[in-house]
Amino acid sequence: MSGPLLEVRDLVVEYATAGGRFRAVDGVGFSVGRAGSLAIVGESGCGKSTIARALVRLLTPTSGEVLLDGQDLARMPERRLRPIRSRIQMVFQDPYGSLDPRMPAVDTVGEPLKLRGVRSRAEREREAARLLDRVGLPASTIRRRPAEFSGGQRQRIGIARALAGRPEVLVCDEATSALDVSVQAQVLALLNELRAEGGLTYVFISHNLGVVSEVSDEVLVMRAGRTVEHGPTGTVLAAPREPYTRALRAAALDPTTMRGRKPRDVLAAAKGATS
Amino acid sequence: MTTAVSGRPSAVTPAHLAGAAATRRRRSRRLKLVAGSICTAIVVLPVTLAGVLPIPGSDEQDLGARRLPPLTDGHLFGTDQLGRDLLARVLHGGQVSLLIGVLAVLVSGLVGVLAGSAAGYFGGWADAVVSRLLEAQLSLPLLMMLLLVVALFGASVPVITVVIALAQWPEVARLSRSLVLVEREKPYVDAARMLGLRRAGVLAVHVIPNIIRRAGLVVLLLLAQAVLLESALSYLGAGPERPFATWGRIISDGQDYITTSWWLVTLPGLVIVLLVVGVNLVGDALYERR
Amino acid sequence: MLDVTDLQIELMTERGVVRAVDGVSFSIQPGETVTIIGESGCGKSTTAMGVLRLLPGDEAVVSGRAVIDGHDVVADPGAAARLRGDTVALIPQDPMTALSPVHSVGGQLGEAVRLREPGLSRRAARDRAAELLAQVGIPEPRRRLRLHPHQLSGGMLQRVLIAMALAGRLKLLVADEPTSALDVTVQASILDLLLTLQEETGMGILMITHDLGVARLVSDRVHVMKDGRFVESGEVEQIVDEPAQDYTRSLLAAVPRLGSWDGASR
Repeated sequence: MSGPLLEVRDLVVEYATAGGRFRAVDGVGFSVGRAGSLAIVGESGCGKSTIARALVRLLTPTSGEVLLDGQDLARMPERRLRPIRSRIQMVFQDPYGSLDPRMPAVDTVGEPLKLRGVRSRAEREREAARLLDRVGLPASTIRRRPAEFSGGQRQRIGIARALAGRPEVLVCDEATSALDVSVQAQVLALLNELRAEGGLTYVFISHNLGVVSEVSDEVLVMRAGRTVEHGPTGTVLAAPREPYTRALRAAALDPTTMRGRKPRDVLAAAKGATS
Repeated sequence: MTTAVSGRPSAVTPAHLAGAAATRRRRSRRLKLVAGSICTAIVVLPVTLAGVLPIPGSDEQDLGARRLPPLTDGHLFGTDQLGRDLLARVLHGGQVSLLIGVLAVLVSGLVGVLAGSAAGYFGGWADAVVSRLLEAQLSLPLLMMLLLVVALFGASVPVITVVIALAQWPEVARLSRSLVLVEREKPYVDAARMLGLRRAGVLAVHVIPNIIRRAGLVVLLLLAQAVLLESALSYLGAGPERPFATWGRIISDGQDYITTSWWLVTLPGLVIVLLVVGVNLVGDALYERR
Repeated sequence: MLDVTDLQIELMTERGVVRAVDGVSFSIQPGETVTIIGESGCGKSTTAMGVLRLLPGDEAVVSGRAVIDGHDVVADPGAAARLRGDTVALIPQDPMTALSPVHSVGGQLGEAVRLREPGLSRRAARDRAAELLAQVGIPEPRRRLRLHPHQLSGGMLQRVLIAMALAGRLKLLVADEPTSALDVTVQASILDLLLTLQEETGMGILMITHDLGVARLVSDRVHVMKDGRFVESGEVEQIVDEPAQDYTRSLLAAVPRLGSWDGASR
């Protein structure tokens, strides 16, 4: 099958609020080829996480299409959707809340295997242990519960759980933003490895341009529910065309390249970019 | 964080530790647990062992030894108006009272957790039905209702159990509902749905197991209330029929003599108090340990 | 301004005594910004709270010396209480929860003003509050005084908290991750505000952060903290450009590279 693996067309998500209907995502479209990696960047409230939730159908878009291999998931009824949910999985932002606190790691990862039809418990545990080993969790710890793991380890369990369903697309919703930088670097390296060896396709949701530059081929910049700029990561970061992207770029602090700058300079650069 | 590894001496003195919040919390928890367990055991152990203890039968009358005060002629609690050993009556009666209490909270706990969780998780019509039932139960005069049911169906142990469960399930259901409302917003519930679990499956596999401990503690506290409720029903004459000597009936029978024989009412009353306080203390200690 | 010697903080937890801060020493001169940087659990926030004596006495034992404006707050916790809110103030990480949601911004700011100058009338306190809001760069201060916290953005709230700190005769400002709950485009403006106020008032700033970029931007000196101790200390340029310790190097290496880009040169 030719064409992009994941294609989103004119996606609109509206919420009912006290003041009427609020359009969180307003006509966003993009496509990602197999083994490609797209990042959606923006500040809080820009609608990027809403897109993530719409992609894995934790919410139903108001209109638009989410085509996975040509099949529209956007308004598919739950009954038909359930068998193909495993094809597009998500890694959540919150390493503390996204794992069932009562479930040992091996069972958390084993759950999608059960749904995939692996009947034998022994077989599930073997496969779960293999996946946990792949994401770098020591075999001696796999029967522990989430509370006994660090934030980075929990995120690894979350990744293993997402991988267990053998997904084609992995959506990472701020998957590293709750982690310390050194742990973040390890998790990003893991995600890059998985992509290189397994042909996974990524949609990265992040507010951090540095993270985006490490993991994505393409960037889509969002503001107030709309696409501001969209292009290859290198181009967008090195030579942003839109003022808002330039303001974001100016405000992102890379300690190694900001010789002698003061907040005022950053501010001036950001202002200069928007005006 | 790190524990002390350097050569630097610790500035924490025993006085600091003794006054530390952590120490205080642990001490108070342990105290509650020990005191509660002792109070509960003092009541529950003799009651369960009533059959093998060297005490007179609970229905052996001795009209020559009526209303003996406590500690006379080997009657630890004294005797009642028919010369029956009060201790024996309290212990044997306790078996029925406790049995009804335990059965009632099991039923009300099960119904409450299931109904409350379903209401909280599914919302919509499930929530509407359960919430209306909860409100209806609140708006009716409870004891009147219970007396009516007993009057209609007779005062057997199963009927009394059901009646008490009827009175208690809303408490468990309300709590379960609110716990589930909080729990269902957590990302792990989203994660389970994303994996492709059915909604009922998410509720059964992930949500209920995470609230059951907290809901269970309330059920434990309800045990004390169930025993009280059974005693109240018996006191009002709607308890299990004679010859079951439940705690409520013993007190009810003894109240005619309260001016002359205080122990007939006071001692069974104290036993109930001891059990209720004990169970509550244990529940408190377990709640704080979470 | 602030002189800390061999500060040690031990936390008494249910699992025993944990040494969160293990003998750190640093000082801050007036007009200087000193940053403690480290990853979560390294003890940086505990250090700040310990210096301000905001840790409950039945949970933490503080020892060593911490002299603020001539008063040793370790030996005399009462002195810390008198200094706080007058010459010393804290800017917390999360501005959303630091203000009372049911009172107006003006009411809370006015209260802070009257606390420092008890003789002031309500009206005068209100004028002073509006002045303070203007000083922290909030436009239309009189109108904002009537608003409640939920009607303001995170960046605005952080400015209100800074205004509150300014109500006293501020000499030392402790900022605990003041921008980590804010968007990046707001972050620079808050940091700029802090440095501007520092130029105006000559206050010392103790900055607590996990973000090397923020540290690079605002600090004069930096202390890199790990497991309750400083592993490396020095001028910010030196720490970032020529780190001497492996730990500092690994921290720097972990920061995702953005490459150089200078918006002004375009």
